[in-house]
Amino acid sequence: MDMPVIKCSGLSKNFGNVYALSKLDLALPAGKIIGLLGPNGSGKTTLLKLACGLLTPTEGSIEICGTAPGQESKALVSYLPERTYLPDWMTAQQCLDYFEDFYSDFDRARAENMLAALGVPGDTRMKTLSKGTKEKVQLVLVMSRRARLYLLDEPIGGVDPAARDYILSTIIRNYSEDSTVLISTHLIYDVEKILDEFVFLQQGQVVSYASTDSLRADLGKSLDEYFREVFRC
Amino acid sequence: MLGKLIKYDFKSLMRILIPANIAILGAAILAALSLQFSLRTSVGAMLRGGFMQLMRTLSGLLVGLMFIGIAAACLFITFMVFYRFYKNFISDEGYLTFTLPVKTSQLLWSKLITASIWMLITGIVGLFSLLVFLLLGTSETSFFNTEIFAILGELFRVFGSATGSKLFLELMLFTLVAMVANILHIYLALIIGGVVAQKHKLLAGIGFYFIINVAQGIVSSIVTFAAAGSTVANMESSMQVDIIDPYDFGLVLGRLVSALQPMFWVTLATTAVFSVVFFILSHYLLKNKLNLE
Repeated sequence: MDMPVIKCSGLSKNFGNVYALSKLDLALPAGKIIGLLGPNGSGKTTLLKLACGLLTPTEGSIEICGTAPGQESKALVSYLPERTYLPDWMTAQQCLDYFEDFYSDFDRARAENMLAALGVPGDTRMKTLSKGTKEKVQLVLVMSRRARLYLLDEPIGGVDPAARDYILSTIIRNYSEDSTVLISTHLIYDVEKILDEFVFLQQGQVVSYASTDSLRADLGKSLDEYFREVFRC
Repeated sequence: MLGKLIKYDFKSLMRILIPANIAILGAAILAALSLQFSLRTSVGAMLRGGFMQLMRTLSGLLVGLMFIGIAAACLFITFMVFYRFYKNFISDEGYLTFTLPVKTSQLLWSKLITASIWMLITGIVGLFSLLVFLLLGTSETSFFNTEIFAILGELFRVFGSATGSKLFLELMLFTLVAMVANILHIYLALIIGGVVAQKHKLLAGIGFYFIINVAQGIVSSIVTFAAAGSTVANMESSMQVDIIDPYDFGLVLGRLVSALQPMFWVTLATTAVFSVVFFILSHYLLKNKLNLE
């Protein structure tokens, strides 16, 4: 089998006395779109932050394409946080310059096209753009890289349904066979149709990891229904 | 990669700091011209009264305002340099900064180098403004005060001597090292604030600045105290009036400088060690402990 894109072994992360992740074991393959799903506080964002090197594990290890998170892995990972992180003095065009400068896998033409399709003005400062528009710019930047691993934290939460469809189709169109997309979201119904696999997290542990096709074939359920069943309050 | 980081840090500060520096220079020129106006109209104005009197009062006020403005601009520049650090590292922008394919040490170096360059630029603009002020604002009789440059020239001649230039170089060296230590001191405080506090991270950073300050003060005092004995002995033996002529400025300066040498190097070394410690701690915390909101 090929080397997993993400490999977690006994991965734990605690903040003070609170365990966000607890002895988590997981290996995700290349070439899949995978949903990272779970209730609030289940450790989704923590797992993504560990994978992109924003946090260091308390115990255990995480590897991205065979290496611990660091300068090397960061060049392979394209991460979309749930925050708006672009400097407010930059214009969309300057943001493209920035990504072009730092990421050798950044495809500028692709980004220009996507910005145009979404109707984002190139010469307006981030400060004056709406939150939704900023999120679109971020998503364009992140998806315009030819990365090995895309980590998307709530990528469609803040944008309108029309943009949502465009973004999802962009994700499908842009990812290649050797890259994996890991999407964390609550909007399961919206993303369900593009997911190959899903991971259910609860209290910092993996409850379920399977392919969406097998779910439909074996249980005859949609992912949305299954989620509601597993995490019934 | 370090070059690119510096480029963007520089760019983001440039938008604000270039206008601020131009403002400093402009305020100095305006203050100088107002002062010159006051000086030149001083004799007759009291008699003529009325309009001239009002103009003199206003120009005097303007000189004061310009000096306050310059002080405010310097504070503003310092604040912006560190606020930029905070924004880029501790706030939401950190999500972008810390996922760039660069080493944490490179991020820290880039911030240190950009801050140092801007501090130096501001220092040079400040000095230049002072010279302009002296040239334009201090003479009653001529538009340019060339006399003051003769005095400055004399000062440079003293500094041009072997002792003088050594003293000058040592002062420069100390200024640089102290500047770096201060920058890293504030960075470390902001980082600890960002790591420890859940909310009000900036405020916590300011608090930690003072805590580090106290710790640094204690260590410095101990080191200085240890080195002070020999320095005092040095000065006593080399500065006795019956051995040297107290009116020979060059000689007194020379003796003083050489007597203070051990103290100077001890202080310099301590400051440099502080810088290194601040850098290492900052690097460790950024790499392992930072948890962005």
